[in-house]
Amino acid sequence: MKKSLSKNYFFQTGLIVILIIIAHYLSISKPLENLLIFISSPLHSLGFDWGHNVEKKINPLFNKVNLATENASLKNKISELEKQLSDLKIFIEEQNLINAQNSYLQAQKINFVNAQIIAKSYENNPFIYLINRGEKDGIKTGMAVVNENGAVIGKIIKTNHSQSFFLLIISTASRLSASLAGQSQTSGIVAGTHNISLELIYLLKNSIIKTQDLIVTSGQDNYIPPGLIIGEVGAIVDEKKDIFKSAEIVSPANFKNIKTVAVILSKE
Amino acid sequence: MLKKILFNFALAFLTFIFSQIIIVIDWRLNLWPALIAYLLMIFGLEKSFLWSLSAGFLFGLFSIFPFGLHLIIMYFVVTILYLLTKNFLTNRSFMSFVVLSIVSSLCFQGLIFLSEKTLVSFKLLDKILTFNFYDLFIYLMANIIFIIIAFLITLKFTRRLSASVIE
Repeated sequence: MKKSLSKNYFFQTGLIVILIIIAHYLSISKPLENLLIFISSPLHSLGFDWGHNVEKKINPLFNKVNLATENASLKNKISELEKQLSDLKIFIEEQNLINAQNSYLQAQKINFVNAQIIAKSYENNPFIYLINRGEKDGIKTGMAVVNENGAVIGKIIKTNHSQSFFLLIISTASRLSASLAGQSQTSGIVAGTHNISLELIYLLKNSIIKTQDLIVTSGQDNYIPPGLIIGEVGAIVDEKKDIFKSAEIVSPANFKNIKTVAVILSKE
Repeated sequence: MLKKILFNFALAFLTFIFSQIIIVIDWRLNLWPALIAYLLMIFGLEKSFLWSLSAGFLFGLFSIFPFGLHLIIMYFVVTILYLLTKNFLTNRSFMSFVVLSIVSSLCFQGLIFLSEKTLVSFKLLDKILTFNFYDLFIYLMANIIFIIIAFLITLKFTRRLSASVIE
């Protein structure tokens, strides 16, 4: 008797699960879902901010544990940073290009919508973020997400009525069509490497590319207009055994503390 | 009954929002599997189902996966855990908690990855999840530590485990 009751309980719960799913896809539970999303948005945002603050406080504590190792690695980094400093000076000059981005967007009549990051995804990818704009704001899957300087930082991967998810381009799962600024014939795919940096892959062997060249979106992705800044070329890898060339990309964006972004809407 | 469901859903909702703070600190600190295992051991099947289905519903709203996937996964996780507690881990010992936490975490992650693989193979989703054993290890450790702390707190401040543990 007891066993059949417990079996019945599992059956009932399974039935409830199926009913919840059906109610969702028939939009019966939409009002409740929208209410929950409406309530949770500010709370999520609050949680996201608190989490960031705690992370900032915790990280230095963890770093102190390995001071000796850190010291040795820092010495190595100094020489590396000196090199990067000279690169940075050149890069700052290119900021003018980034500033020109806004006027470019306006000239091209590309609409964009500002959005705020309200949460991190609960999925097994630390580079998926939730923003407070969705389908009602005209956002569609595949659109580009840019930071305050106009540099591409991600791509929309899922949209809801009032919220959307975007994946940072530094994620190894990210792929974005790109080309050299002003030379659309030199194109490749921008992919995330080791979840920390960017790489331009599938470059043809005969393509002419050099360090500090500007990499922009090629316009081959749906909903992503051409000419959005991704970064500039760093080291170029061209080995004889490989069929394609590849290049490291230095992005002007800071992928660590992103809070506000803009989603580039499709061309009118 | 409805009052009970609403109360548990509200608590699960608050826990879900609070878990965002932990997720921002480190995305591998998803402690829901251990929490579900703990609820099953301490409060029984009904509460465990209420919380897991509430969590599954909320995960569905804030997930890149199609709605319902997390609900089904949570349902299966609780069912597997319940069968384990009924047939193998029949006592509420320290090891039972730890084993249940490990099984819960592995089942949850395993089913998520299996679902992603299936959706990707049917071209319903792009491959977006990342997997490596180091992350899995951290995730498992976090869940084990959580259930150990929860076990010790329960043992110290309540009488729910006093019949199961020799002082």
